[in-house]
Amino acid sequence: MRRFLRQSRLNSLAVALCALILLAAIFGEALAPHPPRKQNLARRLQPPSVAHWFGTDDFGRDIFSRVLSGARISIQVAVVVLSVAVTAGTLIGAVAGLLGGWVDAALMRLTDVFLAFPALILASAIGAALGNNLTNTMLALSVVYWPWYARLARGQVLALSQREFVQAARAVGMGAPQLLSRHMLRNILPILLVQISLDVGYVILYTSALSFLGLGAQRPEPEWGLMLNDSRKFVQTAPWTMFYPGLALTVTVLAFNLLGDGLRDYLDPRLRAARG
Amino acid sequence: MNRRALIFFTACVMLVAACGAPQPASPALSTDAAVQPAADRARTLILAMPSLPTNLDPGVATSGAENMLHRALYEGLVNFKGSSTTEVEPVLAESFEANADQSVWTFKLRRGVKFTDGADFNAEAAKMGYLRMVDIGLLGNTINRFTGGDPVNNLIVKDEYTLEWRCGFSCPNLPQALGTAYGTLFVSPKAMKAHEQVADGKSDYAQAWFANNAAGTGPYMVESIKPNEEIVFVRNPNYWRGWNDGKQRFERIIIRNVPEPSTRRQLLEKGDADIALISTVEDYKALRETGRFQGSDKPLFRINYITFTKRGVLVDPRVRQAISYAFDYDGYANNVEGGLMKRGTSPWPSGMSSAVGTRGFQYTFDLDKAKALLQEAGVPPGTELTYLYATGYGYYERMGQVLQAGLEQIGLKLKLEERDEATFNDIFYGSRPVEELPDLMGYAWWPDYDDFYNYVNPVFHTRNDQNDGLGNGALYSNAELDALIEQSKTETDPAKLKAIYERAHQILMFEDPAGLYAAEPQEEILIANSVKGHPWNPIHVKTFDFYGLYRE
Repeated sequence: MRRFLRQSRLNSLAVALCALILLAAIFGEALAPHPPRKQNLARRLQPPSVAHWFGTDDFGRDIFSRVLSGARISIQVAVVVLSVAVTAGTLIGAVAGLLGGWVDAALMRLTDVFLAFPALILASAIGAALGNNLTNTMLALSVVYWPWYARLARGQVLALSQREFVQAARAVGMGAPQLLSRHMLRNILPILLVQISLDVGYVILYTSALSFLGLGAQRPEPEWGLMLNDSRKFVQTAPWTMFYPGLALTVTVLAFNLLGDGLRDYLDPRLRAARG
Repeated sequence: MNRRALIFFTACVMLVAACGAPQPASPALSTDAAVQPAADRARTLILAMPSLPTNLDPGVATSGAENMLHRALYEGLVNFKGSSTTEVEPVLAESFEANADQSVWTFKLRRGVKFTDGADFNAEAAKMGYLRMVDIGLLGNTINRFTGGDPVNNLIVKDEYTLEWRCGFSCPNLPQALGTAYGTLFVSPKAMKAHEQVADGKSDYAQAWFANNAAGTGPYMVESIKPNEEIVFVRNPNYWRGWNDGKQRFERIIIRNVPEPSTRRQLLEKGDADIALISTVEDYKALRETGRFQGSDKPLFRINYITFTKRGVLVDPRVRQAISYAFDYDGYANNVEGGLMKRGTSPWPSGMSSAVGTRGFQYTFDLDKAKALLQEAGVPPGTELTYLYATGYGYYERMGQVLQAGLEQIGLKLKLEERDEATFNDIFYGSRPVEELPDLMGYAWWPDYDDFYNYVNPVFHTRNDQNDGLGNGALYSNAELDALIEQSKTETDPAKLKAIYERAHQILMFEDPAGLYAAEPQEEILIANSVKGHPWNPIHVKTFDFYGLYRE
């Protein structure tokens, strides 16, 4: 960890921001100075002040409290989506790579079908078909993301299959399940971690995009994309209603991207060798 | 992504967000004013509206947006005078008078008026227009009511330019009833005959043709229709009132579909639109404060309300009462709507002569009472209700969000479902059974003229619950109320009418609530100061007497 932080100042910044976001996700609602859903109609569209650090929205709700609470929704979606997508995708990809033959061909054509659709269009279509709510958003994004992990896992498994330790294990009669659990998964884990850290930001971005389009979180949830949509009407008269949810979204995506980039550099064997 | 590029991109996004950069209007909309020569632009009236229904048939289309189109193309016998809701002035009638007991009215029609297809307007054309309206069945209520349900025999063509109207009862308010633009506008009999389709001996009254074409006596004609984009009207060169009275009336009218509220504001601000529906209070107030735009300061004859569908937990009137207690009426009207609405106190507008006022029951925002009623009714906490509303108007969503917060505090969940106007209308005006309807729906209603029967009958009478185009979309039914509505139809005794109004108020508000009557809005239309001649009549909601408008 210390070596990772020392590697670049951006790594330290990324870790600090991600830690802050995770803290907000866990404790945000408890720390929020106002209940995030509570309306105070007499104090609508107040600019930022001591009482309301980020101002209030068009129903007098405290934007700071809503932004803090929104972190939980975003992180929760990212965790669920990536857990499902990584587990399913990795298993499917690894099985395809290990078994090869018609199993590989069938699974990869299935993967291609899902990859053929633009991600946001596919997620929107699934969300719209199943109904507009956050659970269906998570399901839709899981469907969008698993093929990428399947491709990644298959490629890594195929590459590892040529390595001597895998061939040695095969030679002593190790079966596919053991090979997968003892050798393959352990070795592709660092690559998956990099991809996961990069995808967290994009999953959050897609979630907000779907909510912005009305397909994800529903009112009065303090979801950042939904808050951005609701604030469109006040771009000119109360820009803070748009600025802070936008800022939270931007910083979160940036933080996880920086973390992913940093991890990739850190785990890259060539760069590691260069660093000595 | 390259990290430096990512940081740069992020910084740009944040900068743009911080500046609150306005969204660009679509190129097609924003460049028109620049491209058009100034003189052409001055002679063109441009409206930016949140939706653009394109059914031009005045016998079929019932929404305010459609009625706006009809008033450019068609005319009736009379019209409300200026901003008056009771006084009418002749239009295609030259004069009118009643017999002693006001049960028979004689209309002398204007001579020399022609429809745009060349047909003459006369008493036969007027009668045919009314019969078409009645036979189509959507907007024939007024004609039916004032002819005792027998327009064929009670509308009598005395001579080419004289129409005798027999109500069968004393009907002093017949001229007011004909002042509305709903169900009273005439289409050309020639066009109707030429384009009607007859199947099984029954005419369709050329509904298919009139949906996309027009043949009226009105001041404008259709030049082009681009669905979901714009409708363009041009002057009717043979219009009977003429165009040479010295006022700079408009040569073309362009009605544009601009669903995005901020784009409508920008179009109005930049002068790319002369009239726009402004759906946020902040935008409305900011634009009024510039001094460049005119608006109305008095409530319309209209109620914005949330209908209750009597199914599930809502069958119990106590649940509907609880919901009505959970709405912050004053907070909504004074804060969310910025004082541009008046809190709702009645199922029908407080400005109407039938208003019950403080004699009638009114709700307060009382969460304790709401909770107690829910408990009494045995509604389990966490029960979810759905609220459906049409997109584009803002206030339906705002009503829903205020109610949602109130219901959350009494343990009910409210799911907000937004649909485009066409989908909403399909659900609300369609023939779905009660089980398939949402629990609550955002709706607004206004009378054709200042009359209790005219307001209440279409939205609350049982018989109108499966009738496309009429407003009882939540299938409300109450036998006692039906009887009261029927009684009010021909009753003229003021004391009896007062009793009817008070009893109806009590039923609709408290005993068997049909809706949550949230507010009485002002017109959310703003008009550039250079456009003159709009009288802001509270009955003519979101529509215009286009001939009366001119540039100064």
